[in-house]
Amino acid sequence: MWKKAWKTLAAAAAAMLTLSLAAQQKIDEKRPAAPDGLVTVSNVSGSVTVKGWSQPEVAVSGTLGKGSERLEFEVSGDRTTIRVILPENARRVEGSDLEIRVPESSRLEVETVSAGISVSGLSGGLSLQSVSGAVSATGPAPEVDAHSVSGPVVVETDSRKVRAKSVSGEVTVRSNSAQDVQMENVSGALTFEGVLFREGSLEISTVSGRVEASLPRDLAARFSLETFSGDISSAFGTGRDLEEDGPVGKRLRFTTGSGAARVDIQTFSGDIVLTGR
Amino acid sequence: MMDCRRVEALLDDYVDGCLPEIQAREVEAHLGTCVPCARSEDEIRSLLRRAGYLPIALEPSRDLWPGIEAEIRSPRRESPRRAGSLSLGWLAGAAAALVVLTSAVTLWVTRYPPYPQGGMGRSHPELAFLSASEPDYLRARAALLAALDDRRASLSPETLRVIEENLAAMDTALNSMKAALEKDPGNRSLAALIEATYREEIRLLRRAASLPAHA
Amino acid sequence: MEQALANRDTFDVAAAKGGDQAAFERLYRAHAGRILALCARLTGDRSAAEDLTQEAFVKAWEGLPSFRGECAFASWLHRVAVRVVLDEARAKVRRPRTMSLVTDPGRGPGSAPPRAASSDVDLERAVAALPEGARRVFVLHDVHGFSHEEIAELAGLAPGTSKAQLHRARKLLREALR
Repeated sequence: MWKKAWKTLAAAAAAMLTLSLAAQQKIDEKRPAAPDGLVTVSNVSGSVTVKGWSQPEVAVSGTLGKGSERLEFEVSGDRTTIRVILPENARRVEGSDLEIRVPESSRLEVETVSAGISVSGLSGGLSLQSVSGAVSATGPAPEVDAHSVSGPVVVETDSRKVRAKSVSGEVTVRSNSAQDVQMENVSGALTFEGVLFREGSLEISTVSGRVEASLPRDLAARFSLETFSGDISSAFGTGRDLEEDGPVGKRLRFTTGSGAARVDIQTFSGDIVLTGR
Repeated sequence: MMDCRRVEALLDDYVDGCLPEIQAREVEAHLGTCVPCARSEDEIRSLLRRAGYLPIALEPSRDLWPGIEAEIRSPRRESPRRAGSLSLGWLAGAAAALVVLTSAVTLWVTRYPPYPQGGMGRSHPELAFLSASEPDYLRARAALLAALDDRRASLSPETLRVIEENLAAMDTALNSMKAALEKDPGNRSLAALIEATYREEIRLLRRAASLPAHA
Repeated sequence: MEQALANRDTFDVAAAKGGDQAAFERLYRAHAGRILALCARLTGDRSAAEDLTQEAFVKAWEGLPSFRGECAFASWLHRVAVRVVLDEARAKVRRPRTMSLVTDPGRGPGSAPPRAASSDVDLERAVAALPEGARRVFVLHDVHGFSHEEIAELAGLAPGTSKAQLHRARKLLREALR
């Protein structure tokens, strides 16, 4: 009798697995993982929150949205894959909210469409891509590549290397160990605050976004600030550095101190505001 | 009530779901009581099932590509390209340029920083490449937009809206910048900004084309 | 799988439109098997089908500039192949060769060995033995999913003829398979 009951249960479980989820489902799973492996996460909509911890495990909790097919959670070697799988033919699929803990030295790659991405406490490299979700990263990651089409991008890690890009979202970078920072968008405010290392470079490019960069007063760098129809206001350099000021735009180029670092800011119509701190 | 001969004539359409409602019901009613016709219906359905299981692909006994390649290489077979015309053929064609261009852009981006450096001035030959490549960008963009059209039905309205709004924003920006470039044609920095914006457009279109369904 | 195939096609189609032959070769590799199956069943002649498949891809290359992505590339390619098959049939008077989908009795020694193409030998044989018009409509409608409108347009048939041919094909097949 038990055998039959088990068989029935097993058959029912198998049947359930092949159906799309009719309701939201709680997630609570763990797998052992390499301390400095790669974790890749893919979730179309909902949210993705990743935090580093000192356990040699990857833990996923949260809720799988109604209509999702299943959560794929696999570890192979030092690579962990977490994906929300959606069925081909479902009509309405709800977002999944994933809360993920990973070993703190992991490298992380996240890809979403409308789900927001929020990462903290990792000391491996980060690659975060969304279409309309907000992307935000904090922590000791040495390299960050964060991209959203319309969502805001906020990188507040003390990374050496940052690529923070959006099309219409605001881009914010704060770093006290910046060596190679590129910020780019078409519209939306761009804000940089931090310390540029000796021989570091900060490049900001936008069409109509307003650029505000706050840098140490004693920064030694070569500056090139250029705009076609915006205004430039700089706490660095002097009025005599203004190379061009006319119908074809404004350009300010000057060097402070030994000129070891480099600051390049270019806009079409956005204003450029440089402040010292 | 229908007779068997009439039902036999309508059975194919019935099985294919092409009969108007009333007729379908009449056929169904007949099938409920007529054994030979019901058997015919079963035969048709069974046949369609079998047809559905036939392999839809066969392995060629030899590689046919060399023969195809030989034919398309000879000049009279080359896909016609009309320069300067605004027909869709011209716009959507020459996306080989896209393949060449994106690898060239990658090369360019890795060898030279994507943003104007202080002191670069107007004398860098690689920037001449930018103004020459604008038609290529337009063609690549048109081809990718056509590809995006294919995906329309499978993307969520919200995502589609974000993509289209951002493309429109970039188009507006590009128009302003190009108008400005006309006033100051030698402005390499502006050309670089235009090129960077085109790159973002193509990046967005490529991303859009590879989004999963329901995205 | 279909989704992945369609996405991969997108860029290759865009590139091939501009003359990128490597991209067109990729499209060939992705779709050749299906086009061959379509041509083979339409004609009932496996060896001729390979030549027709080749011709179909050449025609597709030539016709690419006017393909605007209004339908999926695969559908468009299938239509090109059907036109090639029908044009070829109009141009030449063919002696019907039956059963060559399953074996190749016409092949002489030294040629490629016959290959069993399908596990439903009886159905393949019966389809190959159908009269030409009925076979075409059956293959297009019931095996490859074309609509009667498309078939009528491609084959230059009067409306209703496609349905009549399908009815005939199914009837003959049912008799053959009893």
